[in-house]
Amino acid sequence: MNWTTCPSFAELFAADEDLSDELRQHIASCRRCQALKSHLRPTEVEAASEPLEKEPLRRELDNKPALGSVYVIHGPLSDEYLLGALVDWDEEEAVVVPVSDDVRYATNWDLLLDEQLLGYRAMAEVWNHGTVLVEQLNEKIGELGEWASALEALYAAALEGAELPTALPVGPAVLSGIDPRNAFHDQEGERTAVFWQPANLLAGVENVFELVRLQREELELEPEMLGAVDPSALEQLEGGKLDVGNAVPVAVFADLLRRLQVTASRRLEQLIAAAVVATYREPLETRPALARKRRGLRKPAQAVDRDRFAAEYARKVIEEMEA
Amino acid sequence: MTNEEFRDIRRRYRESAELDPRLASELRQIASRLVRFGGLPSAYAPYRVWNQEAEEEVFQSWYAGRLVKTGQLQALLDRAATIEAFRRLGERSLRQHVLNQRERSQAQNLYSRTAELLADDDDFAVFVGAPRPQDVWWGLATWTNPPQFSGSEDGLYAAAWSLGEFEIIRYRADAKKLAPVLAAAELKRFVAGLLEAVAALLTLSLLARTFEQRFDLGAVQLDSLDADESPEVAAEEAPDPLELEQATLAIVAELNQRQADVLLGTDADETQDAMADRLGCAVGTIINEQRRIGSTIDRHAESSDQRGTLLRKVLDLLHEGGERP
Repeated sequence: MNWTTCPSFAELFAADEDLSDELRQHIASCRRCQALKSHLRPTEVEAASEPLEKEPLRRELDNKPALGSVYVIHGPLSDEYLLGALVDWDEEEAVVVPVSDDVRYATNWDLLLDEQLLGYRAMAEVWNHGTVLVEQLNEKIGELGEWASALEALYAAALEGAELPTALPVGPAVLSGIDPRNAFHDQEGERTAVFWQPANLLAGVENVFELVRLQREELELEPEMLGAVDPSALEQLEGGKLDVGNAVPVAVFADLLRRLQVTASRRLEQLIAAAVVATYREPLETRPALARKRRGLRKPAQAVDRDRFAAEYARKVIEEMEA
Repeated sequence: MTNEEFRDIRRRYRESAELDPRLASELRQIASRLVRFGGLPSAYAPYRVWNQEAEEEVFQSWYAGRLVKTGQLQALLDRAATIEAFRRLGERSLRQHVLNQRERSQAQNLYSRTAELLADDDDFAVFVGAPRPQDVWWGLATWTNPPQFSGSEDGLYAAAWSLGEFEIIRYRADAKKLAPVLAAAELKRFVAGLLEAVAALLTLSLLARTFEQRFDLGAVQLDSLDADESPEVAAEEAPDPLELEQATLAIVAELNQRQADVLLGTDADETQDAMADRLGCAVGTIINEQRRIGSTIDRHAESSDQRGTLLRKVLDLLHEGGERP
């Protein structure tokens, strides 16, 4: 739940014990939900139903990403998916063009897609493209096929600020500032922005220390509010002075990142591994080892492979975050 | 239905030829809740009364006409990650369907009104005659030697969108006399604005297609314009208090938390800057939300006067939910 998504009637009138804490808090603080709860009259609804028919939509899809592959994309703190068509990608990130079924508001920077492609009329909002982490690509649901080259042409023109390619299936141009489709663009921009956050967050930081500090400040969380990591350790961590790999247990670091609403990803794994290497300190020699050394009995040195240790630590943190 | 069940249904939906009974049941419950809890005013019921038949009629119209025919069920499933999100999006889809049905049913009347406007208003004139009324070329009376419009339809639609927002009035489906979708002054503003924007003569056929595209209306039977019939105009009737209550609740149900807060803030003369600060968003977002609230109220108002009444009632209802900001 957030400012722009209120619960359905099913949730609004469900028994209190069936609601999540988040939903309860929303309803308690939302004037719209409070007004409806006070004035609407919930009654019995029927659950029985006769069979309904529909047309199957058969298609063969492989799992490989390709230009124009349409994915459902998940975002942080949202129970709605974004549909997006791939226009560029590598092992960590993908640039996608949001796909919307609100074709009524199509402009000349929206590529109109045939109903056969997804099972309904849709448009690719080229003006609204953004970057997501590959981990956000949840499921491939379609291919644009011959529309893919049109998408690429429109996307390239948008990037270069070039003239609109001719003969593409797009909507009417926007000719004035009072065109109501401008307001639709604002609304769509806001709806999709949450999906770009994970990639933008990681793209904007040099290392995981900066990530922790900036995200904590963004969420306005005091160090004491971050639970498992004590405030002084957190200060050291943010300053890059704490031996992350040896001083912060995997579960604690994973919990910290979850609380900071950071999405698990390959890019994050790399940042964590780099942080572990950068702050790694050789453990002090233990008392028995020192005694052996005094007696002249030396075991062969077993140098720790820092890179391997760091990679292992980072992988475990990501696994823990995903668990 | 659990989220696990929902994900299973969602995964298998595309290939199956029959709707999963659990999904069918869920859709019926969405419609049933919206109708029986009071989320849809009875003025929107096929015969102005919600009963089992009316509920079934609306459900079938939504299911066959929107969810299956235009693939919107697939679109809902594609977008919903949880059953909660599916129910929320489903309710929104049904509300839009019911409102759109009313708008589309009034399209024919709008074209008749346009024909009458062009013929009766001295600000418009015929420049090129034609045997059929829909092929006559109309322009502004002040023009001399204007060209006939020869641009693309997209160009015409772009010009229509460039004119900005128009106040759309919805009348009851059972009103003894139908009324135009656009109020008289708004209709003239639109037609004159479009002629000025394209700086060329237009026919009723072109205007009809522009109406369809810009206002998402149903297709018109242009032949009917041959008939010598005056467009129907709504009879003035005092609003039914119960229907006003129902429309008020329907408007509140369509708002979200931020819109409710913006409306209350606006009513309390809070500045847009202060609201943006309080709600943690940009001033532009506040302005857009104010515009969306206005559109939502417009969609339920049956006259300009009723708009103000509904706004007041919505505010009263929201104030009851807590203290003023």
